[in-house]
Amino acid sequence: MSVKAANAGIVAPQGRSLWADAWGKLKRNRAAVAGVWIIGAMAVFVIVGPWFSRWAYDFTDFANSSAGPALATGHIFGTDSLGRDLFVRTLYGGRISLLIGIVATAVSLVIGVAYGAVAGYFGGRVDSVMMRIVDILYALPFMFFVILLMVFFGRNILLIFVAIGAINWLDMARIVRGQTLSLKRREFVEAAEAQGVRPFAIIRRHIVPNLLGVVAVYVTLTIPQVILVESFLSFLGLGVQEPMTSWGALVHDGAVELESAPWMLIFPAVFLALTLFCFNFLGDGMRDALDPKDR
Amino acid sequence: MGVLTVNGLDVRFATQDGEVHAVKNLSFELAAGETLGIVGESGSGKSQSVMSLLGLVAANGRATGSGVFEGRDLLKLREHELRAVRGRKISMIFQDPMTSLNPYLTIADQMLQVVHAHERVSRTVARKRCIEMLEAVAIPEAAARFDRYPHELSGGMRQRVMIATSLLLGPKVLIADEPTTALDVTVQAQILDLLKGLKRRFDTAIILITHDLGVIAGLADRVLVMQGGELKEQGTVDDIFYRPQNDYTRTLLAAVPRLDSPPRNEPLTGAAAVVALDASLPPVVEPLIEATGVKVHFPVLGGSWWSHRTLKAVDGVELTLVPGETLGIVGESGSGKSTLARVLLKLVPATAGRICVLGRDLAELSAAQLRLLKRDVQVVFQDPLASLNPRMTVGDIVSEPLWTHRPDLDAAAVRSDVVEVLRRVGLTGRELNRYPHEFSGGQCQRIGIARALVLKPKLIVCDEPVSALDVSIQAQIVNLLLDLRREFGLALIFIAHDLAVVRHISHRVLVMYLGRVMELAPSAHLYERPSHPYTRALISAVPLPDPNAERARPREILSGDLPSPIDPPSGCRFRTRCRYAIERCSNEVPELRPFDRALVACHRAEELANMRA
Repeated sequence: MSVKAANAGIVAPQGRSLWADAWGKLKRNRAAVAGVWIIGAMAVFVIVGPWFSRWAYDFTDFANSSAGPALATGHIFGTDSLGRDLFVRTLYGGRISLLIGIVATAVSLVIGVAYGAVAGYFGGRVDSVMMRIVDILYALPFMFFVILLMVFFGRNILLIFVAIGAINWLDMARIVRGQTLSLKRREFVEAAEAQGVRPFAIIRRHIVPNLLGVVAVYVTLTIPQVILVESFLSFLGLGVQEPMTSWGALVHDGAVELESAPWMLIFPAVFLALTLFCFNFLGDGMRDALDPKDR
Repeated sequence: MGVLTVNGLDVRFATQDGEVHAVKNLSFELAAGETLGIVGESGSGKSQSVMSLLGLVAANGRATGSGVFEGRDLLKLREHELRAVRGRKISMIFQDPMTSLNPYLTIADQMLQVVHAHERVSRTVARKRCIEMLEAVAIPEAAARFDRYPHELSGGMRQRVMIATSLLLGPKVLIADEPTTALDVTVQAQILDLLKGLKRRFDTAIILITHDLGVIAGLADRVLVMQGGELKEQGTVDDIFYRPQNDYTRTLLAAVPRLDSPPRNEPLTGAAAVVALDASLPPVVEPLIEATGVKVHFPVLGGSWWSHRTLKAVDGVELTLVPGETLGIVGESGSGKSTLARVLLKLVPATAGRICVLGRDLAELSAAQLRLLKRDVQVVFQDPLASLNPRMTVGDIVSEPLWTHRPDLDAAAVRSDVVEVLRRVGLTGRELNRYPHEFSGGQCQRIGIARALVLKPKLIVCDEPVSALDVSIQAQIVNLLLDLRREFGLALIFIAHDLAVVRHISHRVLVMYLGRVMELAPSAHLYERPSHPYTRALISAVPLPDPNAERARPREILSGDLPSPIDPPSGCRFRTRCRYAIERCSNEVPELRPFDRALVACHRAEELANMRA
């Protein structure tokens, strides 16, 4: 028993995981680090910022409709044609846009990884059936799908999550399946099979952790894409319901008033573009950091 | 005065973890027409030393010193001057003939481009010269093969094309960097034979870089031994092999398993010994594995959709394995030896036949019963790093079999077992929280063995467990397996293409060719008196790390390559390459039958035995 106890109590130094390696490499990439900081600051800003605002996002200040940015009035970003403060609306729009970006991507991540890994690992007929379902869903025109949802359920912020998530996981599933197909021929998976490890344990312990590198890159590139899709929907008038807003909706409103009130376009557009830039820089940085050839 | 004089060569690489000093103060001379062998383990700087002379080091590398060739220092030449030297005066053969030929260009394109890059000659003249050179390297139907693409040729043929290309311009020096490492032993023998002939004919100095002392013994005149970037010893081939001065050289020589030395393998005792000593008798104890008529066929893409073609990887194999026994399986690549191992574990499904493991028919087992069976049968794979999940810690990797099969153990008990087994395979047990990429190849293989051992199985299948490792590490791993076998009474199936290693460890050896068993014999018997012509050819093809024996030895070099397993020859599969083939061999499939303490599948086994006597 003393040997057992001694064995269990052995001091084992901590190793350097591939994640730690990748993290070290990412930290040396200035654009990506700047991206992380700006995204973080942006998130804090859009959450905390509205608390310090004098106006609610739907308060109409009739005295100052379509007013330009001015410190005197307190509307530092100006107001829209209904006299609503653009500063607080931009922050509220940011909340919605970031939320949609993250939640819809998370949904597609969970469904896509599980679906793709199962299809790829089991292969054969299971794979064929599962991937044909994906093909069929792909064939649905996205706009048609969104309009259909709107018609049936009315305009609702939740529907946008559902619609975007429902489309985005298809890409994720395809990418994950492809990666799984090459992973399952690797020797360590065969080794696990030879040990008699159960299929779902193999997927959980051997397939998914080795997929996450590729998936993480894809996720950081999907978030801006989703934000953009939401902006596009809002721009078309299919997005969030007034008086709630998003960056896309604000850009849409601003574009209409471009000649008379350019600030209505400039402020939300700058926020949107900055966020997208940062996510893309982060995605590129992660792709470089996780590249196995460069190890 | 040599062709090439290297003085004080230093090669350094700037890396993230600091400077790596790959070659340290290396000096040597290459005489005209001589073959200089450079031998060393991976990381010894043997390739870098020569590459750096030709300006072929990676961008972060820097070479200093001097390398004088035809009165000019190669290290001081400009890039365009070097280019004129490379290929024309000094040419190279690389290890992997698959990747050093461009798959999108025909052989003709690739050879002509070499000629045209250095000489102004007409296309017809160049073409004629290329075809002559292909004939010189013994490519049959050279003119017809000249306009083919690389994938239409076999590995051995491709390496011949590489050699022909490198000799086209009549170089003074030919650098062969592991020229036969990627090839099968039989093809290796062909290529080495070819190089010997060419050396005489073209009077080219050859620098032969290899880790294989057998290749050096057969081909080199002088040898440099390198370790960790330093020159440890240089001398004539006889001096190095028979009168080594340096300790490292001695260690290296001692580590090589010899085909002609007796096995270090303790005999089996009890009933199992009957099997070990006489393969032709039926086993008297209950076998661990009993397989009859095993076939594994894979459907192949290509052809038309109504005619399915099949690749017959394993085509009718019988085999038994008794407890405590080690069965070696040898054969060229494509002979089906790995597939055979996988079908015994049901990693690939059998197309036909009956396989009983521990008395249970694999075909009748449910998934749960099969999982239970796998407790007693474990595997060690060829590539040590690839068989370990890079995202898991060593502790988790070795614990995994326990999680699967011993849910009754708590975390502390698992940890204790894992530490114990890590210690048993020669690690410290302090590796638990580290990751596979932090270890060397040999250490990774020890981790792989620990994983196989942690459940205390009855049988471990080793699929080429040492082929990816350096010679001295190979010896350590083989000795570890021998120790473990003794300690735990393990049975082993040991697959390898290295016949010397197999001889070292096995009680019985199974020789496979194109999915069929050619011969099954007790190890000592097989190597001393091989009955099947294929076995004889295989054994004769292995280069011995002994220059005198190598010079004196009569050779039976197999001609040609392994036929396609999609469309194997009729009758005896080996007949197309067998020098003793008669008409009967093409009509009638030889059965595996008892002959002289072995089982042999050859119609003429008796006649051949008499011919030799």
